Amino acid sequence: MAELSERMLNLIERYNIDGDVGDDDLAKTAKLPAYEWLAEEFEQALLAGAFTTETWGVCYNGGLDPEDTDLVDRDLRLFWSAIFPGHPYPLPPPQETE
Amino acid sequence: MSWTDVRAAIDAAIEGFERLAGVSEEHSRDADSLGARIATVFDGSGNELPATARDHTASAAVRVGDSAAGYREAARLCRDYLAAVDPDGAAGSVEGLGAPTPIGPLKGGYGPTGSPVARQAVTDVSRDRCHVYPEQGPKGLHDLTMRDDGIVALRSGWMDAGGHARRRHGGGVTEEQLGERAEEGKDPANGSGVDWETGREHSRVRHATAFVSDTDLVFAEAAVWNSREGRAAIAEAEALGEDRVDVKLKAAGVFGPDFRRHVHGRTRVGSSANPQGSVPTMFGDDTRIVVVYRRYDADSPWRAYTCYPKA
Repeated sequence: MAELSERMLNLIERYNIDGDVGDDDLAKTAKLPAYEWLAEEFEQALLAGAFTTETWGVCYNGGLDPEDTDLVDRDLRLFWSAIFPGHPYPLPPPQETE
Repeated sequence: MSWTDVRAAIDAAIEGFERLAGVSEEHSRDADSLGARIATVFDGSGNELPATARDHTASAAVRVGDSAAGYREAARLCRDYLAAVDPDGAAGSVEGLGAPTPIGPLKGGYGPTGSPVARQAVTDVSRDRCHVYPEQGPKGLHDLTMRDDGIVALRSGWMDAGGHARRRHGGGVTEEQLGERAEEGKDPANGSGVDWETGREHSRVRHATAFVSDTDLVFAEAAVWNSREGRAAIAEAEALGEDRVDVKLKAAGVFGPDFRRHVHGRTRVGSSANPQGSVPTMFGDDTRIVVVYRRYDADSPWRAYTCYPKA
């Protein structure tokens, strides 16, 4: 599984505070020249399955539980919409856990 | 030592430096005059001893003149410091402050009937008055507490207008509210599962944390804003054109080694899908104070969107 870069970890922590995703701010940031890397790196990490409840847990005070895949899915969709406006989210919803 | 004491000491030092500079200049004039007379008397003398005395007199006059310049420079540096940290000589007081100006659109206010209404950010009129002396750590917090004549309420109001720091993490948030947030995902801002800021589902967090008092919150935010890390993060964001910054400082660096007296929280037991109650949050030595600053655009002022202890 691909590892997340330090700059990506810093970014997701900055734009997601306990599930309060700053998608408005992120949409503007994604267009900045200094963040040219963001779209490609985010898409690669997403498709590689690097955003797990463990890695995404940096955004939550105390981390996430393994079954919190619904929270990660919801947050990732907001991130995707901010970074790739108008593009369909490329992953299916997480499978229900019993 | 309180800021008022520090300010008085610096003011006294400035007065002393000015007085010493004046005395030095007077002595310098005396030395110049004496040197001129000695030079007149001994110029052309073939005797080595008077010539040496003349040279020493001239050299001493230069040193006296230099000391006057040094005292003037010391006074100037002290004045510059005061101008930076206490520009109107009323640090810690709300006296004479103008009303803030609303900026940007209405935000937040989601939730059931009775939820706090939407907020609108305002300009920051009290930052310069909130010289909380953060480099003093716990003493700075004590200083702020003792001098508070409404400055904490004013700073809290500025934060309420710009985000949810106090509604979700302020001194008024109870243990029960924190427990409900950790176990049931209820937003302390409105007591429901609807996020007061976004209108989406409020997320379940393992650690729901807050400051013990609004003064703690105000002090923590000021310490982060004034910190080297805070200044660097803001400068970098402004250089990049970014409108959001997060800054983290060790809680022990803000409040001192007994930082746990200033924060509290509830930690969920069990998973988010199957909560089994909550217990008091254990704040480790690496606990951070996190502040997220936002602005609408490059021409807008920064506002504190949230400020909380991250266990």
